[in-house]
Amino acid sequence: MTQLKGPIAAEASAVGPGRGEAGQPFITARVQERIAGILFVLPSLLPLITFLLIPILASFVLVFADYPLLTEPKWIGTANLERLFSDKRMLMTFRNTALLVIGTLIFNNLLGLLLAMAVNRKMPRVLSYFFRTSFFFPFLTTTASLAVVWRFLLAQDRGVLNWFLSQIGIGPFQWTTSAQLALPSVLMYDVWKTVGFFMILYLAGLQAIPESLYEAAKIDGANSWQLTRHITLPLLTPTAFFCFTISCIGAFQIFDNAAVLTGGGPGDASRTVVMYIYENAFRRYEMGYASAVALVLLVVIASLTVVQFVGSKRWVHYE
Amino acid sequence: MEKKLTRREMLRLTGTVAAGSLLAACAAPAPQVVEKVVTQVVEKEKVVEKSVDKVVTATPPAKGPVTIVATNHLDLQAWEATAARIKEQLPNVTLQLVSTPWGGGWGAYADSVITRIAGGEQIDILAIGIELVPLMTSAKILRPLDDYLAGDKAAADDYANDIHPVLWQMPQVEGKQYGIPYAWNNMVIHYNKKVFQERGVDLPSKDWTWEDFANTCTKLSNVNDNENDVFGYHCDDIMFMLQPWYHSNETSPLSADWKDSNLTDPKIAETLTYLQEMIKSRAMISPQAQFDVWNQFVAGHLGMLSAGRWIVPFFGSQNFQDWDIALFPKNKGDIRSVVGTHQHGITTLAKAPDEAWIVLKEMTSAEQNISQMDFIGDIPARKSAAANERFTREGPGNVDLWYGSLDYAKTIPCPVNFNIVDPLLRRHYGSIWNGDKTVDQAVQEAHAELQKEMDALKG
Repeated sequence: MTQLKGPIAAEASAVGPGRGEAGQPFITARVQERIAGILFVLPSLLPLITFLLIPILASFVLVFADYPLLTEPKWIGTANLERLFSDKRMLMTFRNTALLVIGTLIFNNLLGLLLAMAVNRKMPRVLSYFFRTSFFFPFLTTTASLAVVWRFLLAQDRGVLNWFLSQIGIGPFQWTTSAQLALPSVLMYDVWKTVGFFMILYLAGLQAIPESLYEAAKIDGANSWQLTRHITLPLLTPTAFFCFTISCIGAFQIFDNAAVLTGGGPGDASRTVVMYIYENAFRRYEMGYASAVALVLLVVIASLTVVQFVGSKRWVHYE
Repeated sequence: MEKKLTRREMLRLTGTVAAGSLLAACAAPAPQVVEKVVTQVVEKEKVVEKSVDKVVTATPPAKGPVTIVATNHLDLQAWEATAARIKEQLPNVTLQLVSTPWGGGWGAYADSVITRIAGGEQIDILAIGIELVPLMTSAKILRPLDDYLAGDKAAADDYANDIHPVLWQMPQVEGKQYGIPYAWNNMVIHYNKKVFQERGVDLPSKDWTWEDFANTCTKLSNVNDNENDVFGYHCDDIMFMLQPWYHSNETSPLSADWKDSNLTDPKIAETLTYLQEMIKSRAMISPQAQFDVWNQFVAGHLGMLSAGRWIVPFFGSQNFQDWDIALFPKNKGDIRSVVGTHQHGITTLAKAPDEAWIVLKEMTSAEQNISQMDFIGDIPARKSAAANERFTREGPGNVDLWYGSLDYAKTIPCPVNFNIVDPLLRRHYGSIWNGDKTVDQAVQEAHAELQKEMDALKG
């Protein structure tokens, strides 16, 4: 038997007894390492493939089928895609969703940043924790249960908000049943619920800015506005970019807020795209068409995210 | 041209898109093919002997242990006594009762059941609301029970004697019986007697009219946008709840055969205008308004509401007794309520349908009708159960009106696409109630959309 020398011998000894006739190891240490890596990843990868990747791929196929769940799918070519172009309801839901995206983008980020700056100021630790917890708490509570509470707060008749407004001679308003106010009500609820999360992100960003930069600027005679304009805001741009991206994606996926608060009504005034996908899939049992709308949503979100990433090179400053 | 795509083909396509045999191999096995099962069942039915005076054996009795899965929306405790009786009769049958959550109403229940069936899950006995029977029969999920009824005279006679014909006929599609009712609901006007007394308003008479009702609403309501507000009336606008208003005006959103829109009938606009006027004057709460109806009724801030008997357990839990019920006011004709049944049927997926029939009989027995009363507020399908003290003691004064309303009621329209029609109508009602659109404008738009959906069914 040939005596192995050098690195091959070392690798073979690491592999152990697995050797071919020619003395080559069946499994090299590198391959063994790769297999081990795959085995480690597999427990999380398999559910991901089974419950995420395959359904996503299946929905691509379903776009070309008529599948009412209780009977076999039928191949109908591009009929579902053609239907998209004449579907006024879908356009309405995209319009509503776009308004929610814009609204959450502005309010979540603006208010989140302001709140973060407020709680970042010097104050007793107890007070600081109290404010942080208070603002963050709605984010931890289930959306559906909070939306039920908000439903009663915003009720036109005997609703809490209208009662307070009536004390100063305003209202009553049809917060959830008027076509003009239903969508702003959903936005108001969503911002109230998620702004605490953005506050925490911005707070982390603020606290990561080195104190030495502020001290140096102060020595150079910078005032508060100049500190904010030239140090805080530029160094917060990576955080802001992250917040913009997840705020956009999250707003595109708004479902339960609107479903519980307004049911998408009146008419379609507050119906979002995801609600429309759900309606087609599980109320109308049109899985094919629901997949087609979902595909459009995927393309829109992906495009917007790419635009955000490309655009970020112009305004995001990393240290 | 449409090409049929089997689930397996679909999965194969999916696997191809997944770029690789490895991924395809990871795919879950194809769900059970419903149509194949249906074919087998039909073949077995051909050998049924119809004149045998005992349980018909469509398939040979199961020799080994059999599992029968039954699902409905009741708490499992509601079935304990019945399950024990079934165990005595069928010792080799393992009965698996599944309580399907009903939180979002029949729609949410249907979502759950349909996705489970589509996923190939075994469900032998299925409880559904009448609205879904046409959908389930068109998809061949429910099997007809006529052969079992023909072969089981004792059971057939029992049902005929103890279940009102209106209820019995409801789960029939094209003359075939697809379910046995175990409970049902109507719609009546519940009124808070104390509010009537405080506002000095006469209680509803047996023959009150739309005009009487509107006057009553106006007198009851006292709205100043403060904590003492009293509203006259609330009614939801899902099809089942709004239907009595249409019935009392001798109309319906759908044609008599449920195949076309009937929204252009001027009586539809008349009905909606009548309700809209009451909403405008704030004598009536908008159907889609967020209003804690049940609590406000008990608290004396609402004089009348439309509901079935399902609300009665809530009144009991609040120890509220100051209320009674009346039929809807009439405008044209004598139909002043609506009926909807809940029934158990045997699915085409059932592997031991003979045993399932025996289980079904117990699940729709008079004993079960009584024992389920602790768990649902619905009216039992059996006359004997509705006359039982356990049922009548919960009142109200007009307790006979629960079962008696069947003489004044008509079934809810149940087209195959009920799941589409109901939300479609509600979307358009919303813009009427909030005044965004005129009744005529909203009705015309709803008609165009509804007729398109109905035409789609005709192929």
